[in-house]
Amino acid sequence: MWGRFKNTVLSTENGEDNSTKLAALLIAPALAVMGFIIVYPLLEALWLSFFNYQLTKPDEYAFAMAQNYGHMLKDDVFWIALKNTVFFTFATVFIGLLLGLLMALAIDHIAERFASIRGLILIPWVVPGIVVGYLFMYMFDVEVGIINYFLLKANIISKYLPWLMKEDLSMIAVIAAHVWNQAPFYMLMITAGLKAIPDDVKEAAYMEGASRWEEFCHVTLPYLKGILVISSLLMIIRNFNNFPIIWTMTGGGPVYATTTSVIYIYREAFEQYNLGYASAVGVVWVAILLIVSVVYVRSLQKDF
Amino acid sequence: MIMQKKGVFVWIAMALFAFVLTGCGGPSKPAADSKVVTVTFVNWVSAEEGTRDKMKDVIAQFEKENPNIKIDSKTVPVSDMMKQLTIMSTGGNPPDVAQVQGDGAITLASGGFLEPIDELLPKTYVVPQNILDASGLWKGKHYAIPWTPNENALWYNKKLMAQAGLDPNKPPKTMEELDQMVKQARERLPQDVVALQLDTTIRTIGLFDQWPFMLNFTKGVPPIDGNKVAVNSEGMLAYGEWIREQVKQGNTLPGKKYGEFRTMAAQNRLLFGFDGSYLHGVLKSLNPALTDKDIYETWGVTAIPAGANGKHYTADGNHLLVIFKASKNKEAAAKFAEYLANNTYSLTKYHLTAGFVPFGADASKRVPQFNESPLNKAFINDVLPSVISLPYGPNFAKASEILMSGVQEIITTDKPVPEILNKAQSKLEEIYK
Repeated sequence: MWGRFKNTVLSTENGEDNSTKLAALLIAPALAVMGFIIVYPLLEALWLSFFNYQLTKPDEYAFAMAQNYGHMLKDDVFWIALKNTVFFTFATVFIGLLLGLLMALAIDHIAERFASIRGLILIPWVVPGIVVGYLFMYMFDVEVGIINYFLLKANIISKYLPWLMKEDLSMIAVIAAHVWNQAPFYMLMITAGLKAIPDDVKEAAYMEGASRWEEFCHVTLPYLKGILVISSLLMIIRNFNNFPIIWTMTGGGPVYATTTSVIYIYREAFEQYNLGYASAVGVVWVAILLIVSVVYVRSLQKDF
Repeated sequence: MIMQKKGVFVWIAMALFAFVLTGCGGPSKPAADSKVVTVTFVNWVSAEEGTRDKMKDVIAQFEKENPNIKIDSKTVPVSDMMKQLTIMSTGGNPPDVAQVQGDGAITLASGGFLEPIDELLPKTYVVPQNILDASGLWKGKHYAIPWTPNENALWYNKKLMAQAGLDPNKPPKTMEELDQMVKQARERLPQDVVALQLDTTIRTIGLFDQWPFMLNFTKGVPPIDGNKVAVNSEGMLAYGEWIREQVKQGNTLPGKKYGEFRTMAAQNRLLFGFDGSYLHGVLKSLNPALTDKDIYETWGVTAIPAGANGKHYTADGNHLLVIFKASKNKEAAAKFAEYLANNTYSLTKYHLTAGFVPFGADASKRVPQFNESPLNKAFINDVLPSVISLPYGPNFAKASEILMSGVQEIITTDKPVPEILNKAQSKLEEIYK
């Protein structure tokens, strides 16, 4: 039966079996389903962004052209959220990457009997965001937080600080939580990269008189370049979207100090039911993410 | 050719078979016993440890007394309730009845999702008009069945007051007295005692918590009243300076949700709490060693201190029951809602044991145990009459965000209060224009 189906449906007119067509036909259903569940909501959001659509004001539902986008330009909270998103994303990725690199280099030379440490270091990576959020919320608590306790004991601060209620400190707190959560991911990726560097290349560098630092700069780092680019791009996309840790720790506050775009969209859509405007902000957000994604995909295709 | 046709028939037969197996053969037939209706009830009390078993018991009793009504209780966490109900409603799949809080009823009513309860609610349930209006009056119709009160009262810690040299039987009646007592207590009590339970989060609950204090400084003039906005008034400036001072002096912890102060209350580290009647039950669940006697000896309840006009205010934040417009079982849903809010069994097994006082005018007569607790008595006599409404409506969530962001800016920065409130004023004027 399959043979008949293959012969009648998949063969070209001249009887030649076309494997490309077969492949296309086989993946078509999956593409159709994915297209529906990915493209449809995007198009729907784009469509909604042109409407004045607030669930609590059904009488005012109307086509509003680019009104939502116009409002966005003069909405100071939108710009604050965008600025916070960019700062938060790049800070978490940069610090996480640096820490992950240091950790990977440190455990790369670890004795075999301590290999289980690698597994332990990975634990933060598997902790769900909401748990990380609560964990750090209590660690940075103004009354019972362990961070204040240690800083006070070390004479770094003179009194307990309201980490989550000071505009400058709250961003530091949420970045610290994310870095703790994500550094093991970079470590994992970089460790894999380190294992792929041929020993003889390193040995050759040392034989040429290179120092440890020179070997790192001219041998190890170029080998790791691809992994560093891809993993950081991946995390830029992820952190651009990150919601649970910030929401749990600060709810976007104090004032708007840790309000990122995704938190702003959530508030507009699910607290104020302003679906039209939330969609417009979402469309801009997706556009920015798409640009980053294109860079990411191109990086994947590039030979580092 | 014949073979190909046969193949097509096989495919069609298989597809039909799969269709039947998956039960997609069209609308299902009504159940054999069409007299039994199922009422879907979305709520959070069935999810919470302190109320889960009590609610289960009340539902079982209702089903026993009403064998033609089955209750399908679906639990949703309180923080997700409005989001879930909105999604269910816009998706065309709302429940019959749901539990909401504070602005929930008017928000859903303004979206056109609710059925007015004026005709549906049995006349046996008599609720004070100020409560009925504050909770659910929208465009001349009522949309909420008040279930349990959730207004804040002043909970004063008699033991800590005595320790601070204050008269434990004379709680502060005015804001001046409150400030004076806090000052004295802070000088004499240990450092880890928190003087005031104030919620300054950017949430609608934050505004619910702060509203009575705002009105105390504005002599009862709401900062937002209909489309009139006056958040940069003299009274509000005075409120701004007051709340800033409370944080600066360390009288309260900034940015804490009011629920986060309850642990301190259970540890006897809170001097003045602003919380609901159910704090009694919460204290017992946080510290199982506490007995009713301990709580009565430690805590007293009265109305929130008054401002210059001598009037006491507390903001409406009741737990409510709403019936959805799309419900096919509105009568049964209303019967069930009335049972939860007013039936003697429910009052005894749910309200009384969970620490809620009733709204029903005759409830205290039917269940005299409500009068045994001095805390309940104070709630019924002093607190419930002081309920005032918040500016609920389609803009309430946005207004709360703007106003409470302003409050947070006041308490976390040194910017001049007028500058912050003027900014909030222009933002609010924009949305209320």
